[in-house]
Amino acid sequence: MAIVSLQDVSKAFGPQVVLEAVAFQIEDDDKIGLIGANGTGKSTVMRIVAGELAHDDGTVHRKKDITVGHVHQDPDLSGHDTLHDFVAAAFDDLHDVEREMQSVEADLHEAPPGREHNRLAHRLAELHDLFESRGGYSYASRIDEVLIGLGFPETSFGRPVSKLSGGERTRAAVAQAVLGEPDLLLLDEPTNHLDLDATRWLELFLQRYRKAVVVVSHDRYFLDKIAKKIIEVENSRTQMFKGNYTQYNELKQEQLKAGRREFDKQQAFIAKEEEFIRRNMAGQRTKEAQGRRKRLERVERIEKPQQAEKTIGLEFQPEVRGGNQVLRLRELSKRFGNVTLFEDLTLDLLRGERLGVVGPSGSGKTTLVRVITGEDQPTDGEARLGHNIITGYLAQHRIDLAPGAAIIDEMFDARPKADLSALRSYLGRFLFSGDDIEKRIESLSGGEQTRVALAKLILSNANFLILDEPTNHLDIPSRAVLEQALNSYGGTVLIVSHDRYLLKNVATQILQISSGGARKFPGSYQAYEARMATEEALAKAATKTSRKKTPAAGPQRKRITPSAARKMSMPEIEKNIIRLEAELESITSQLDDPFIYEHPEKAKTIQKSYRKTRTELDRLNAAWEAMVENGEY
Amino acid sequence: MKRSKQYQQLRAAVDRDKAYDLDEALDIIKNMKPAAFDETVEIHMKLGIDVRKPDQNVRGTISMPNGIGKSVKLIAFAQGENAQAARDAGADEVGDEDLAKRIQDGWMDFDMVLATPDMMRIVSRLGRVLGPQGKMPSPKSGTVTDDIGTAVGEFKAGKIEYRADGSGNLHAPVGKKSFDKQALKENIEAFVGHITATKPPAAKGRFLLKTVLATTMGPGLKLAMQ
Repeated sequence: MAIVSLQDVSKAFGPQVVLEAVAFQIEDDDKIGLIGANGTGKSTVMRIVAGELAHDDGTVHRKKDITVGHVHQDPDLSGHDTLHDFVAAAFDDLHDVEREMQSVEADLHEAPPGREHNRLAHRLAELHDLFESRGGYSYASRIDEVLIGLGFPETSFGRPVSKLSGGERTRAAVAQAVLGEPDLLLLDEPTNHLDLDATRWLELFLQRYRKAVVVVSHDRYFLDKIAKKIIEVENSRTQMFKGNYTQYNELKQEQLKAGRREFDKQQAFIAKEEEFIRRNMAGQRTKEAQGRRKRLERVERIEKPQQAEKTIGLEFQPEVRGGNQVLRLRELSKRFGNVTLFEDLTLDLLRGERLGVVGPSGSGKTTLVRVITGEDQPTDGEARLGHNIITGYLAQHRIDLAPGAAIIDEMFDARPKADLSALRSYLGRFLFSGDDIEKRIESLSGGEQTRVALAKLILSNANFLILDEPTNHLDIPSRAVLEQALNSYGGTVLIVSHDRYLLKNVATQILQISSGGARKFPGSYQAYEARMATEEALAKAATKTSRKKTPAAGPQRKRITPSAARKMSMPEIEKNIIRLEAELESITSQLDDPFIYEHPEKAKTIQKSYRKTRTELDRLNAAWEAMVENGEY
Repeated sequence: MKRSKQYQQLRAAVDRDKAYDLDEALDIIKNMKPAAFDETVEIHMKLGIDVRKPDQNVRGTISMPNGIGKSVKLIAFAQGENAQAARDAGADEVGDEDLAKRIQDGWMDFDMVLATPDMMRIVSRLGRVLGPQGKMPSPKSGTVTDDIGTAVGEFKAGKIEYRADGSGNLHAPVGKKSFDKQALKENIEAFVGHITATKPPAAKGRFLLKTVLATTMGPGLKLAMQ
């Protein structure tokens, strides 16, 4: 059932028309990815859907009483003290019930027996009922679960919101929104500040979310995992495609090809007609020519579609062919004080290989890159570049371009002897066409600057590219360009990235850096993911087996009956008391886990086990005391 | 989940897609190879409600015409005459502050808690312990009541408490496999009739989406009772 529908919606900001005749529907369990190049109006669509922005024309129908949670790119966290306070605000209704419960309980203690006392008692019982039915007994544990899932360590729950970084603020806002479980969840670039683990957590959460979700994202892998539909915003209009990002891309390419065919056909027809008119306008067939001209004027012209995606071949390749061994790391370690980032890292990178480096934020990926480029020194071990290796380094948050220079100047700076037309066509591959190449660097967006920097890097004769998070700020078309450029680049590449789609299409091997150390996985990113999934499943199975073996969970263990206790010798009793105390401790810790109460059956089993073990322990203690009293000790 | 051989055999005798009528389903259940104990016959329902809306909360109690063949361990919070009435009706434990203290110390060996409204000031403190286990007394389910003697008597005689869970499913025992077919049938019809009558006015569309009958160790049989 549709919960939001847009019909012929238009929106303009001053003279600039952002949306025109936009129409689509959002069903109650839709998972939609909203995509489009930067500045095409995705956020405007989200704000209109959320009801935060008025539209100029058309109709927006929103189902009555639906709740909407909208996480903006730069969320406002003001009005809250700590991270936990802010996120817990998702349960404000429960806090109100809790406060009323406390106040009614206090009044009940004061009230003398009578009508008022009865009324308060009934009200208190009703409030308990309401509190329970809204999940009042599990919300505290759900807050912890979501915060930890989104990568906040427990120690950070009390941090003041004013001290949170931009990325942390976004994550906090996502946490609050998902906890509120709105009927329609709108997320604007939620994965921008998430590391791989947190992104995977969010993917899983959204896949299981039973209500509607609309996500603006440039993370194609994320869209592949969660989206069942894609809405593309292009040229002020929207178009809906069924399927995830990959399916969208296939359909889109087909559509572009078909559009191109139609366009070419029409162009050929127009040319033919115009030629006829030109030849015959003044001859014997004037009337026919005039007729054709009229008909031609009435033909609705097909707009020239954009080019379908092509694999680009780069004519500029490194002029110097480096040695076969590009990078050699031997027992490389880096420590800051007591913190070890990586240890004993040994790695060989050969010519033509493309190494993807992955790992959670703060695990030392950038430090490794800095050690390789010589900007930082290792604590132990050695990092050596091979013979004739020239590195080209694209650092995170830093682009080495002259702000006042034009794009084309930067290209000539890298290859002074290159031909202008060759550079023009080269820049075209990086989505700079026509007069764009004369634009000054300072007037470009972050994503455009990254594209220029990459184009320059490839021209610079480097035969070993080191790229640190190159896709930050890039929209999807730019990411596709980056992928194609790297795939047709003849040198060696080391790429640090959270963009799994890029890694999937580019990397030939993966280096994983985490608190557990660094590990190298030969093969593609998919092979790495499959391997990780298998390892995780095996680890889970191992924990399950070991749990089964623990006596706490085991009704299989032979219970100590009263007669068995009486027959035991003193050392046996003592041994069993120690064992049962350990068991009891383990069961108590399970009962302390609030998650357990979300599974009443499991909780009951554990409680039963607790009671039985407690009885057995009491039994043994009594037997021990009896033995001591009888002087058998 | 790995199933036992016996379960698999029983499962093979049941058509997963068929919606059985009640008589047929009960015949199958009665003829199933018995487990080592007297199995409970359970009813499971999927309801067409929005569980997040408080006005679509399905919760209450019902006295089964033939009981459920199981006695519940029941404690009651009451004082004075009420306490005596609860005791007379067969409550396993009756008390006030002393009972609350025992529960706070970890004693949980009971299935159900009843309370008179004036005892809510004491029971309220136990919310964190009783709430997560679904044992917190509530006026909606008839476990907070002025007439505690009658309530204890009814629950002891087989009155059951039911509530829809977080996914809109509802589960309840309707008797033992050893009951005769007619007794089970009466219980089931009474229960389904009662639940149908309690459809929240705010719930839209079909109410009983699916009804399944099963024994403790046996497979589920879909009922044609929508």
